[in-house]
Amino acid sequence: MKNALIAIFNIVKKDLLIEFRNKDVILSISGFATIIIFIFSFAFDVGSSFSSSTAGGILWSSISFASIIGINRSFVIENENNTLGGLLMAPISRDIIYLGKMIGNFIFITISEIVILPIFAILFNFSILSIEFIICCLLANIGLSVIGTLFASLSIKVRAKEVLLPMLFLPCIIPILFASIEATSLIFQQKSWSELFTWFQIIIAFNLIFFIFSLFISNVIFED
Amino acid sequence: MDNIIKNKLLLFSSFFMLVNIYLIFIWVPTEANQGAIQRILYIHVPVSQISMIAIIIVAISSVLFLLKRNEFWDKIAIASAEIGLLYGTIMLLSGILWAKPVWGVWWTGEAKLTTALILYLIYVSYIMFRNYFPIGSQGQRIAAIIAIIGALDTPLIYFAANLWSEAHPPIVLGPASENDSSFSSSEMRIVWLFSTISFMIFFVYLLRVRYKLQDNISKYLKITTERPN
Amino acid sequence: MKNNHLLCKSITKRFGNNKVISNLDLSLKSGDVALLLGKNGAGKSTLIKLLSFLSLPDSGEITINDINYHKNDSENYRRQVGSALHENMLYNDLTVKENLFFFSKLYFIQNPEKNLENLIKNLSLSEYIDKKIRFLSHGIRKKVSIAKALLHNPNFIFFDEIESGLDKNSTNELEDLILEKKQSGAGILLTSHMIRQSINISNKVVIMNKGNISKIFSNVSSKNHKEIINYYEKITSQI
Repeated sequence: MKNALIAIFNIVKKDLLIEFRNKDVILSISGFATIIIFIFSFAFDVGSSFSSSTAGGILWSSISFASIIGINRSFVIENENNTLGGLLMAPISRDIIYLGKMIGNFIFITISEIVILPIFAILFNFSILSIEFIICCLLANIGLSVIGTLFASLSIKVRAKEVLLPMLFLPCIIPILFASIEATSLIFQQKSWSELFTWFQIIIAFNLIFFIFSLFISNVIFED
Repeated sequence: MDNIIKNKLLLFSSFFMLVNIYLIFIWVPTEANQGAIQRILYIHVPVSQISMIAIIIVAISSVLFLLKRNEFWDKIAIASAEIGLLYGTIMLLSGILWAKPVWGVWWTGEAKLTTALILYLIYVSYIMFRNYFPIGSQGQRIAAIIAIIGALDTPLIYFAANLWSEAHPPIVLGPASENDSSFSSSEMRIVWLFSTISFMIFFVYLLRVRYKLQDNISKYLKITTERPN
Repeated sequence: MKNNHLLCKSITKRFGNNKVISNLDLSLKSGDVALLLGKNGAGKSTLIKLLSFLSLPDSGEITINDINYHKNDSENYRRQVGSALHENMLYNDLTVKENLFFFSKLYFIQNPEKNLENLIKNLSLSEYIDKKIRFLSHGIRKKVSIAKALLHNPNFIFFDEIESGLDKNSTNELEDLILEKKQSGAGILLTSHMIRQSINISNKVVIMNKGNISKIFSNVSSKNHKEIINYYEKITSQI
């Protein structure tokens, strides 16, 4: 168990070090999401009138699109020189590799949001500094990274993965999308915890189910 | 032997379907509330139910394939996915055609519709994925995992869509906005039952044809690419 | 003196619908330096992939000392083998030191610095230690991947065309390293296109053809080099 944690820690550390140097994933996610938010803000003519639902919808659609692009990048990096092979040859179980990548992707998405959210707050004039909103973001990020890492690792050998991966990813994260859009909308309307909690429950259930499933299935994913 | 079974199925299926068409469009009386458009439901409802069954078949075969690694289950999975997709397409089109005159809108945010559409998209992606992956057992295994993910996701999607549609109630107008689409008289129920059976037989026939095709493709590839020893 | 024995029994592997390896048997002992020869498509790289645990055989088994670690205790298997393949499996944006330290940690090596000291010296990598892989030449990258293969002192070592892209000095360093490992009891399997050179360090030659082994020469010495090379050239000129 201790060995497993050490291995996961080292994989995450390695990913963070590489990301610190080339900033590939974080730039992809934050850049892409910011552009989409900008475009939507013009398209829906946000300046005049907008509902909290529209705002939530724009935010989470953008983050979802951008996340899968970024997560795809994180696996493309492993494909250069087939470093994934190096990980598979090391005496660690496959779920450790999955966990390491997943935690790394979670960190990347969260850091990207530090850029995305203030821009969103400015454009839509919403306050993002509330504990409920932060919890909502963290829960959604876990879900996006769990399922994103799962699909990205399944798609390593498939051709046209830049097209296929979003096609697969986006329908599957509908529960997170609905829940986080609605929760965001309720937070902006300053509704109570009890109303929020139902939506958080969906995200938590989603995260748990797919997290456990991914650990279970990681051996089959990396089998050749 | 195979051909005889296949031909019997085709015969059965054609016979049932012809009778079905007669029953739906000529025999069954027109429903009072919705009018003639209600007849589409005798197609829409059975086809929807069977496409859901197809998805369950894909999920179960995928699990069995991963457990037993027997190619039979993989062929059933792809066959069921493609025929299920065909039925899903008929479901969506017939549903839309029915909805406009009856509800006044082509589409609403109702949970069932949302879930059906999302599942449809997941299965389109599943089939695309299978075709874009290089040939071999790894692609089959990964496709099986995707099918299982879709199956696991379905209750969550339905639950979330349900809560969403309660929060954002869909606006339906039109003559049947208050009624549901149940079949009220006994003649209607007979036709609905008969239609379900007809479409079921047709599904089994198509499944068989598609399975055989997959089997032949697999055999052909084995023969043409196997290195002589 | 180590006395380990790696055995492949009836290994079969398909990729897609292609049977790349069929019913292959192979034996590798401590102190062996086995040269694996065969023309392109014979299945050499696939065999090395199977031995490196990058791929699982469809049937058959791989055992070390009669225990099927490969199937039942794969982590133990992977600790005992080390491979350097075509792709160098190194992170472009990390330095040589960072790459080697990272993999050392994955192999749970306690004191990576000390452990790598000799390897780095023997492969003349000292001046490159703080350079990123991206900026290094192909030959240096190869040497780093060799260091990566050997850092955990494996009992069995697999090299797939490792001397491609190495200059004469580096090839000599590599051969010295192989002989050193042989003397300390490792079993080594290597594939090569430079037969005339690699045969000098080998005590065993395995010739593969069409997914199986066509001949094994077990007692290779300077006396039968010519015979082996002739046999190999005959096999490869056949369709």
